[in-house]
Amino acid sequence: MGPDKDPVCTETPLGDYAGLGGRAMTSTIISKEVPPMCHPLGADNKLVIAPGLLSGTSAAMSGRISVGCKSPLTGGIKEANAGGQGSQVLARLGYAAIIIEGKPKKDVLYKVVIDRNGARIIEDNSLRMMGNYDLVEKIKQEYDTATACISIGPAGEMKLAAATVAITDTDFHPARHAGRGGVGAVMGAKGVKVIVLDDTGMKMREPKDPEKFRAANKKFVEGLKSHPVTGQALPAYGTNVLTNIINEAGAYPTKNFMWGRFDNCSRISGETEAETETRRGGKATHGCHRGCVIQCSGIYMDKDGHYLSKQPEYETVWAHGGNCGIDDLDAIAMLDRLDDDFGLDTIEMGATIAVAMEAGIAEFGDAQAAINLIKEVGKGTPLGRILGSGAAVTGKVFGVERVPVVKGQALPAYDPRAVQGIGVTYATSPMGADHTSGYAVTANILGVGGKVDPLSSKGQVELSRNLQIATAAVDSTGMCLFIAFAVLDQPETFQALIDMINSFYGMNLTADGVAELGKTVLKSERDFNARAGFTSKNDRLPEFYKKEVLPPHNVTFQVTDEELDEVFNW
Amino acid sequence: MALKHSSLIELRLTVGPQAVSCFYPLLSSGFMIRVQVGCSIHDLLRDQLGIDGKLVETHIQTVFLNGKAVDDLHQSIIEDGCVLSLSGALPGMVGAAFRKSGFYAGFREAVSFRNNKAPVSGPRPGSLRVKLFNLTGPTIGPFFLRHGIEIAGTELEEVFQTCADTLSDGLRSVKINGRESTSKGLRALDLKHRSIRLFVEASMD
Repeated sequence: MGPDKDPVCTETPLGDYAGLGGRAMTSTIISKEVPPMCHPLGADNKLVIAPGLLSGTSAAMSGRISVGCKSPLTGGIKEANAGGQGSQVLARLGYAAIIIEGKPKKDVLYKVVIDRNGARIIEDNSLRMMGNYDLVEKIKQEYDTATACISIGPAGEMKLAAATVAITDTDFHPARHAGRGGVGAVMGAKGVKVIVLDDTGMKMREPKDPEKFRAANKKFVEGLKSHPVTGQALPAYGTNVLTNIINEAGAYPTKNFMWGRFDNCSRISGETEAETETRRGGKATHGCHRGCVIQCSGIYMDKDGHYLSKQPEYETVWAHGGNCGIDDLDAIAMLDRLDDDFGLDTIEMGATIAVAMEAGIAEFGDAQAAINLIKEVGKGTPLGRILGSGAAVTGKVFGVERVPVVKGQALPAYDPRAVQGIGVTYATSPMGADHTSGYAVTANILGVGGKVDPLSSKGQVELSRNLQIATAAVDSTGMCLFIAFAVLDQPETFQALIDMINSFYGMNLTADGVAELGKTVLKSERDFNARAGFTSKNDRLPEFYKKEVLPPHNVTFQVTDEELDEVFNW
Repeated sequence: MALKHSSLIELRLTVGPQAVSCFYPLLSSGFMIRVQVGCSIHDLLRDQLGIDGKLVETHIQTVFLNGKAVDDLHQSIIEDGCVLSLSGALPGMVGAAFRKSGFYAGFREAVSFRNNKAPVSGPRPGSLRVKLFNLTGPTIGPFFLRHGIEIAGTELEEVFQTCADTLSDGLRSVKINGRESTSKGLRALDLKHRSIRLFVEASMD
């Protein structure tokens, strides 16, 4: 992207990166090519956007796209992934990754257009400070055959550390986000507002062994549809089905992690959300990309029956809801819409507003105040820029002691005092506090790390390690992490996934090979962070989780520092 | 929520199969049932509510007793005044962790229910608060509705408002405090400040 000359587009053969996809691709490139001590917004950082190994094929659930860089939020390596159409379209266009490097001339904004004729970079300052929704509308008018957009909102242009990269969904709404770690700020620093993808005239990627691939895909789909989580609970209620349960368990972080229960949670539960969507003419069941058979998403309409946002996810409903004491589903959907439009991470922003509420900037439970605060970010006021820099910065600016972050990134929607095992993952993940870092509940199937007693607290460190390995592997395939729930109980579904990869590439991957891939990815990420100056002291939860008891069960985080340091001793 | 007997209205409704779902929101927000306490969760569900053992095994994957995650339905005893929450299988790492006797149960050991088998006394009348989340509403909710649930009148009023059209088509019979009545009689009831013992049966049409 310059700065001494106009941007240049080059196509490079994969070389040593052949056989990598998704997170394996982004983390390997970042680890090898980005100086760990570089400034995240500087010319030496790179933004890598990579579809998964099976994206662009007819494989079900293969539409995750990974976005990697050195994170402006954590200062470490980052991979954030998203659904939407971007991954499938980019892969069908024949690209294994887009790498944006360098730094542009000042005050210039670009769009990148990629179609079957190749890629070109076009200066377009008319897009400046446009929200993602208006942006994709304008792009659609200009490029009527465009099939997906990858874009940033005003938050990315302002290079705020909570900025996301948005991916359009099947309805061309910019509602899917690579949300965590400020990847949108890096795209903004490169001067790229939007990548327009058009796969018109391109065919699906063909497997090496079409017959075996078809058979494996069929078995995989059958496995997903027959499982109670992927075949029933997620399609019916989406991820927000968790609200009532996590609350019942006393693990629902409420009002900036002060309590484990939110009195009015049934007003914002998945059951209520699905009923509201259906009653207003929206959808309680919807896929974020073509080829999705789980359909965990939905369409949320306002009171007048007009589209407001995609179905807010559990994490979003928690962050802007219970964590801020807000029990108004319409207000939460509006906050989700604003976050998507400005290009902001809903988890980071919910956590940040809760910290601001604790500082007295607004009252807990004041939904309109929360909406106004997000609008401050969109406008780029001084207060908005502080908030858009995340919970850690906001906590420092306003002198708040209880700031729920690890490596500068806000904790998601499970209190680690009640669910201590996930606290181990929050503390030790190379990504900062991230529930999806240990999300792939397939460690039992992969058999990584031997047997542990699942009912013993002693197994938590080993389980967290195994989950992080399994997750890194699944993230590298580009498959939606939700496939893991079926894999947990159905080894044949996992085998079907391996068969799909093998028949597509003509490989002989085994379960051991998958686990090894996960370990390799994690090692390269840990290595990058170490070279960026991270030590074991960064693998810790904030002090208050050890000191403050969490009602109603009155528990504190009990895993010792020594135990946390064992997570990556493999 | 304690319900006063003095203000209790007993309502017995028969509704068409499509209208039963109108009452599911009541089940997730919680209700009281009167049962014999001092038995295990499994025995309560199978013997007192008539839920088939296989249905209990397969559809009830996540159970909380007084807010703590249960691993063994046979070893966990229902006592008077306790809160029992039931759910189907759940997504998420934490969803997997809360599953009864699941592989990842160690993750939530701090909030696991300690088995309390060896009850101090045998079965005796009592009450408990029940919450049915997600797919347990449609799958086992009808058993609870047949058994009879106790709720606040305002909650039922909300159901009647939200599902006015469905219930107007689907209401087959009404009994108020043991006497036959009609949908008109039902509408005339002042439900505010009253407690309701509600029985709902699905008709065979």
